[in-house]
This record gives sequence, C-alpha cells and structure tokens, in this order.
Amino acid sequence: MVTGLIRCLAVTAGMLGCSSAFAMLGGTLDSIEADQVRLGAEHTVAAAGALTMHTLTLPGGGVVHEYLTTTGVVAGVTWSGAGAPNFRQIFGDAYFSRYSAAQAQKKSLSHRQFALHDADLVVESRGGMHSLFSGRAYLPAALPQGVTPDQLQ
Amino acid sequence: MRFAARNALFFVSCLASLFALASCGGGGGGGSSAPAAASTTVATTKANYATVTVGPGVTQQFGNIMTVSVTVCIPGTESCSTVPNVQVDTGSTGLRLLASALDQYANVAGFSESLAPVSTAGGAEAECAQFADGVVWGAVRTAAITIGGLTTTGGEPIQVIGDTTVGATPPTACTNLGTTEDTAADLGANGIIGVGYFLQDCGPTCAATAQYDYYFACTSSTSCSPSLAPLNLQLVNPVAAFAAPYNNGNIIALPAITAAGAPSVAGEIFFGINSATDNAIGSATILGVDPNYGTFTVTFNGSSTSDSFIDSGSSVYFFNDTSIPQCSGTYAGYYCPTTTFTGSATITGPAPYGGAYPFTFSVVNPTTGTLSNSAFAFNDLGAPISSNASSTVGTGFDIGLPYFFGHTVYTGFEDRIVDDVGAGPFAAIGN
Repeated sequence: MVTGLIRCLAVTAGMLGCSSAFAMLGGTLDSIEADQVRLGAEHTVAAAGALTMHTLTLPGGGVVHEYLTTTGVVAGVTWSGAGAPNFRQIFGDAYFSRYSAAQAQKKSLSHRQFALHDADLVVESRGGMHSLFSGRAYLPAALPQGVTPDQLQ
Repeated sequence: MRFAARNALFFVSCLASLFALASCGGGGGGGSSAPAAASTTVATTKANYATVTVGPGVTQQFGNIMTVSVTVCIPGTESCSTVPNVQVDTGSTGLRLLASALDQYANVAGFSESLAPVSTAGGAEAECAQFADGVVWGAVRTAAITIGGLTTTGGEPIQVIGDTTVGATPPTACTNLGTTEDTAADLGANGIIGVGYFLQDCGPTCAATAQYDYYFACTSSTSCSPSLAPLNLQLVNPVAAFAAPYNNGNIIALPAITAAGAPSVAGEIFFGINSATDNAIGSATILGVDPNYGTFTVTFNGSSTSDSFIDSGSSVYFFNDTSIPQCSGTYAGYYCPTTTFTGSATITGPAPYGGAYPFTFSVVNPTTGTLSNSAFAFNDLGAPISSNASSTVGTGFDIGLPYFFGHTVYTGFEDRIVDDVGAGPFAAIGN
C-alpha cells in the first residue's frame, strides 16, 4: 500500500493529483482515467468498430487496452507486456476478487495459462517470467450487439 | 535413448524407493550403474541424473505434475533439507520451495530461516514470481542445491515461499497481480524447480527496470519495495549452476503409458546434453526457440502460432479447436471429445536452428476415464486456450506434459554450448 502511494505521488506530482478511484470492468471513462493516473500510463484513444479503444502504455512498456461502449461502459480490457499488469486496478476490486478466488479454487492445469469462463465474467490469461503476459477480460453482457470478444485485441 | 521398454518389475521397485531417491536411475541411462545419492551427506558418486515421478504427489489431487526430490544445504555444511515432490518445470527458471517443507524435511531445526538472505540495494531481497495462475511470493536466500548426484558449485539464490522473516507479508504490488500460491495445496507440490532455457528467472528485464514488480527489497517483514535485480541476484537455473560438463542443458525422459493413464510413472532427468555417455542427443530433432521467450511456431488446423512452446509444467495440451466440445461442471476447462480426438501438428523452430517436427496427439474425455479413475499420469488430456481462434492474444500451442510420455525432451540452455549443436537456447525431441 505504501509502495503504491509513493509511486502514484511520484508519477503524478504537479500534474493531476493522486486519484484514489479504481477503474473497473463495467466502469466508466472516469475509471479509465483513474487507471491512467494510477498506472502512470500514457493514454491514447482510437475507434475500434462499435467500441472506443483507450490504450494505456505503461512505464515499463506494457500495454493495456480498455474498450468503452457508446453508452460509456468499460466492456473489456486486454493486456500484454513483460509482466502481469495490476489486475486489481484494471478489473476493479469486485471482479479482481472473483478472478483471484477462481485462481485459488480451481485445480491449475498450468502455471502459464489460466481461464475463467463465468456467464457474466470471462478472463483469459497467459504468460510467465522471461516471457510475455497477455490476455483479456470482458463482461459478455456489456458487449454491444454485434461485437464479439475477438474484437478485443 | 528409449524408455518405453521398461519392465513391470523395474517399475514396481522404483515406486517403492521413490522417496529414497535411490535405484530408480540408470534404467535407461546406458551404463550408469551407481544409484544417485540424495541424502544429507555429500554424494560420493557423480550421477548426472535423478528420478522424476508423475504420481499422486503431495496432494493426491492434481494429475500430471512431474516431481523430483531436491536437497538444499547451507553452503559448505551438512545442514540440509531433502524436499520431495518438487515440480519439475521446463517452462520457468529457478528453485522455489515452501518454507514449511524446507523445515519439515531438514536435519536441523529452523532450517529455512538459517539460509542466508540475499542482500540487494535497499534491503533483503524477496520475489513476486508471476505465473498466469497466481503469484508466488517469498524471500530470496542462498543455498547449495543437489539433484540426483550433482550439486551446484556454490550457494545459489532460491526462493523461500512463505518466509516468516523476510517479507512475511506480501506487498500489494504483488497481491494485486493474482492469488498468492503459498501452500502445497495451492501449488500441487512442495515447490517448483524451473529448469527451462534461461539462466535466470527474469533475465535482463529485471536488471533494467523494477516496473514489473518481480524483485523487491525488504526493510522489514512488512515493508518491501520493488527493486532492480542484477542478473547475479536473480534466481538461477539450478542445472546451469552445476559444474561442466553437466550444465549446458537437461533431458527429460518418461516412459510411454497407455491411453487409460497410470497411477504413477517414474522416469529420469539427465543433466547435460551430449557431454557424457548417458546424455547423447542422438537422432533427436533439434528445434530453434526464440532467444527471449523460448517459443517456436506450431502449425495446427492450418493456422500457425509463433508463441507456442513445450512445457513440462503444463498438465495438458492447450490448443484451440472449436470442433471439440468443452467439458462443464467438475471438468470445466478441459476438452470433452465424444470420441478420442487425434490431432496432427508441426513444430517449426526459428533461426538459427530452425527444424521441423511433425507430431500427433490424442485427447480423451476426462469424464469417462482417466481423471475419474485412480490414475495420476495421462498422455491424452487437452484444454482450450481461449474461446476463439482468431485473437492475437496468446493463442500459441502449449505442448504440455502429456507429450513427454514416450518421448525424450531436451532443453538446451541459453549461451551454453552443446557439442555437435552449438549455443542454446534450443529444444530437441526424440523418441
């Protein structure tokens, strides 16, 4: 906790202040901006079909994409980089807790793969040290009609 | 080397002596006759192999976890702990052992805490090892490592999971990345011994940046901050830390099993490649792997994925084929084919070694056999990577432990020279 706070202050000193808000799947644009601050990321925006893709480039070089619907909901996130991203930050507390609990409960089939396929929450994660981490998480019900998970790249 | 022709008598005698780690080796080793010594005294015979086992393991719950016994000692002393059931993982690097297991199997009290902590700039070093299925947190301490008949040339950094002194409380920077795996029940083993392609577990990334929250410096049991980790302060590949000529790679050889699976299977891990009479590369197919990621290309169902790999730490084949039904309920996450699925695929290695290796693999329905009986070793289980095949997000084929049965899998270490091949990293697969 102390570590995160110090980092956050260091990154944002003189710019935006240190938001304590957490972003989340199912959150709003505000939550993406909170992620940007919290993660010390560069933020760019691009259209992605029926979604808007917000790209957060992390200080270490990793990339997080957050997909916002036209109604302003974060329907999915993807990530890639040399380490795991701060999942609590980009999933939000509630979904991170479910992800973490599922990791703890399921018989793991590999250290390099993990998947959670619930009706309302999908997380597909992969990677390892000295390798790349990548994956995606989305809320099936929040994806607009006609948008498939494959469009979350 | 062929290992499929084991007779039943050997298999039984081997099972009986698993924990003694004696008399199981040599069956396929072409002339090695002395048993490996893994007691708490110094080995008197330099047996460059150890027995590996795929069986009930420490939890009797997980299938297809290959394990070995590992002895760690305070360097230069006979204060040691021989920890059984440590998972052999060719998909990672470094030795990680539960503090509780280190203490349980030690010949002195308080053993885990008596291993010297590694100091880094800013405090005692700890690590947040990151895996896709969770994080492994714990102190970095120094130990001499013995596997089979070989011991590292000096003290090496290992991770003590659940250390109660250094970083007893994992920092949020680590716990924000996933569940914390810090018990035998979480890991399905007493620890992980990573013997993959790389000499360090993180490599240049962690020497250059602390942004990925791998290594930490701890000033108290509850205060740890992300820290740079020079290569010499990272967990090392224990096999690469053996003396030459046994430190350029390893070979894993498991006997073939039937489609019904087996309660327990014993095989060997050999140390060194093409450097002794029992570790020849022979006619195995040499395959290049990406020097940064240890990956190659697998072509399956007409699509090629360059982020594919072979990994003893994966209990099943992970691949995408939407024609195969997926299981639900207890076996959710596995493929549930209605009849045995047989696939054909080809590995293609990148330069400089290239190489092409066609292979076939089978997947059975775990609800009608295998997992539902008393077997713990399987050559025919599969799982989907993700719900679609077109995503660019990690769709590479993961050739897991099922393929190791009946094959010999070589892992050539980065920057180490193998006679008649060259410098690693590379993979090779033989029959």
